Amino acid sequence: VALREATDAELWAAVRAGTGDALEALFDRHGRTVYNFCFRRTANWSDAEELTSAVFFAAWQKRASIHLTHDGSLLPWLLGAATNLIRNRSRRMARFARAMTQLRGQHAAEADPADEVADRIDDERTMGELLTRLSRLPRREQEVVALYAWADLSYQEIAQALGVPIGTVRSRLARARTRLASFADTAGDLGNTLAEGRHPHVDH
Amino acid sequence: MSITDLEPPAARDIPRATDERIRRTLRAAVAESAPAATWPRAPLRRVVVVAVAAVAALTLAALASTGILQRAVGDLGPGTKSPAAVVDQIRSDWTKSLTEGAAKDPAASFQNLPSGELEARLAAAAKSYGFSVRDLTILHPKQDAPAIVVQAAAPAKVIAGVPAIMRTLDPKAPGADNEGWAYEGFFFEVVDKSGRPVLVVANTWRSPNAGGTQWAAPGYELPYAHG
Repeated sequence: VALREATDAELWAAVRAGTGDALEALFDRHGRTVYNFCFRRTANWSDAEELTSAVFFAAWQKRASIHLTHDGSLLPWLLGAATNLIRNRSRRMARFARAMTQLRGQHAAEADPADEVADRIDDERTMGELLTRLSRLPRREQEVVALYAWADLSYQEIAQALGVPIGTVRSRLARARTRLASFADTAGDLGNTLAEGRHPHVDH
Repeated sequence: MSITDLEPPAARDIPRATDERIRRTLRAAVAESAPAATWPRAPLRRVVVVAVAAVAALTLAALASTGILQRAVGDLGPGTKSPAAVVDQIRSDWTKSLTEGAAKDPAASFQNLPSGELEARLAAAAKSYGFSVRDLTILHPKQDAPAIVVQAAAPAKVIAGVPAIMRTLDPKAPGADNEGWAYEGFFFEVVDKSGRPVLVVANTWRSPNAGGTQWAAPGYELPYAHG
């Protein structure tokens, strides 16, 4: 089966057999989503790169223990792994963002057009503000909200990503909605987003 | 404020340089072909890592002159590998050693420089030694572990200054060789004006992989005396 046409399960079977090309094909397929999810959870593009690399590296290292059904997607596992990595990493890095903006801009400008660099700096500032609001929720609710609103996963996929029952996903999301509604003055918009369904601009 | 105001920034493509770095990491992992479901044996240990127990005896002389534990890496020399391949391997090994160290020696603690201080020191060193910062990534095995790539039109000048640069960026408190460093790991790479790697120094300080390595392209001197 050509790599591009292969299902995730077919690619994953090849990965488990030790085929590096299949791992890269999965990176081609899901890397952008993982990268953007990691950014949305950290508000830092440099961290997003580090985390994306770590997620796919972990997938390779743990390939023997990851099982996909024939129509399964690897994405929930990848985003679950990203969530775990983000949960366990030092929070200290988040405070580097502002201090590093100028330096990042300098080195990024060597590889990227200047307007792209400026946009990415703006992204970090915008996302940082949004994460500050999200941080008012308990961590477990933050994780469910992020996977639901910013990664467009279904309840079942979130359950798979986090390794919890689907009922737990529902209850955490319900509690998050209630809590956000109580923050109406400052976080009402995100609460509205959850109440209305998907975020209108989740992009894959 | 409206929902539109609160939406996350639109998804972006992975920049080409970032994409290449991630793919290099994955290819290195595949090439390593570590047993599935287990963390790999750290290759860094295989080729360069100095056991903590041996550090003091092995490097007293080096410490006296350089202040840092480093050993030459004979089998990571130019050989049949390209400089880029050698550096990819060293960086991959370094990352794996950090991972293993964080898992096996989580209690070790490092006094990381305050937020922004590393960047300030790096900028000052860049001005003094004539290099530009191509990449600064801070990994977080447990605490911070900086990976820095700098570019220099005159790499030899930078290489000669590496011991001083490293001591500035990764200061060490007095004490045994394997403790008192600001970071649990540090990776410093110099590339020439065409982007070709010419030097790498790297270390990790959590057990069981405490130690370091250095590599220089043909035609360049290693900055540290051999351990």
